[in-house]
Amino acid sequence: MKLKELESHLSNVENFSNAKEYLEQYMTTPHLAARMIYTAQTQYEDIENNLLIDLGIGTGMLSIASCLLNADHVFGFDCDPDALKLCQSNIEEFELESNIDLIQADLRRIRLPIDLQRIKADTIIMNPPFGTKPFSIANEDQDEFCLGGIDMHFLQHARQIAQHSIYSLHKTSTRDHIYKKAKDWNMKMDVLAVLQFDIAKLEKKRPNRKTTTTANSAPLKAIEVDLIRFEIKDNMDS
Amino acid sequence: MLTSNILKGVKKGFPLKINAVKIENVSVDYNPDFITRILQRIEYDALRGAVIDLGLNESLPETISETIQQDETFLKTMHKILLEYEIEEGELICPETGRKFPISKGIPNMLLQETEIS
Repeated sequence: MKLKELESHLSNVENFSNAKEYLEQYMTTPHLAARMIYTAQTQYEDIENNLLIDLGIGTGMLSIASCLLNADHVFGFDCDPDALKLCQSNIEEFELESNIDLIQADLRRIRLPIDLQRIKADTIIMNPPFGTKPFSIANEDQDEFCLGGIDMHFLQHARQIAQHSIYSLHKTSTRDHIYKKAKDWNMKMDVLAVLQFDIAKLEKKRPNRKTTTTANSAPLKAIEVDLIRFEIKDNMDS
Repeated sequence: MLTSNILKGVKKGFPLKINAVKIENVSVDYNPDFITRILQRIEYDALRGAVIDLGLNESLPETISETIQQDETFLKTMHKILLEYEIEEGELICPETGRKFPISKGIPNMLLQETEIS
């Protein structure tokens, strides 16, 4: 399938009708998703016949793109029941019910409910929250949750469950910090592209949403985002 | 049924037990290459245990050898079990703690319930 064809198919993925700000929910655009997954396959062969995990599956955009490029199977995780419902509906629209399995889990927790003895995905795909919006947790819970750098936390999960490679998005401003972490975690890191994200604009991309900003939220500037591919160097890690 | 095979509730965790209230039978195109690949990744014993727990009318050998993994009949049975039985409603139960994780509309909910946090 050609890139343009893939992007065209992905335009049928339905967006959030009531995105939750505190979860930083927004749809990964068909434009970005198509390029991310197409590159992963054509340049690195990380999609076709591979077992994938999508952390923070949201609308299902990345997973659907992957299945259209013949990924073997995808397990998608998300904490929000409304997102999962939307995702399920998108999966049905594309007739990918037997290719994508959904699990409701809180990825902000320290441990993922996956048995690492039993399964490791070949490739992890994700568009993680960047932590631009604060989220509140009860005091008793704080030991169980990561509090800062939520995208790094997602990356840490990904590192534990990836057999071969990880595709993720992170703020360009954190690039040096991520290079250090990648080194610590024994991963090769390649920045594949730099993009402009206008999250406020992305969140507003819904037909019934007014364009005026709400009283208590300052308009977000566009932020620079790196599309990064991580490759696991040491396959002996458990 | 593929999902339940990869999840677990606690750190050590033995395979989660499955209790199904509603199982849907779906029809999925058979792809032997996919089944062969996925066989390398799942824990066969746990899957076989789940099939027995659920009382599914499928017979699986106790152990699998190299030769049986190429046997068409076996692959077709694996295909049916992994892809054609959809657990729509039920629960996954951790044998270690007794914690139950509900399955609703085919999606297992691994979020801790309010009562378990304190």
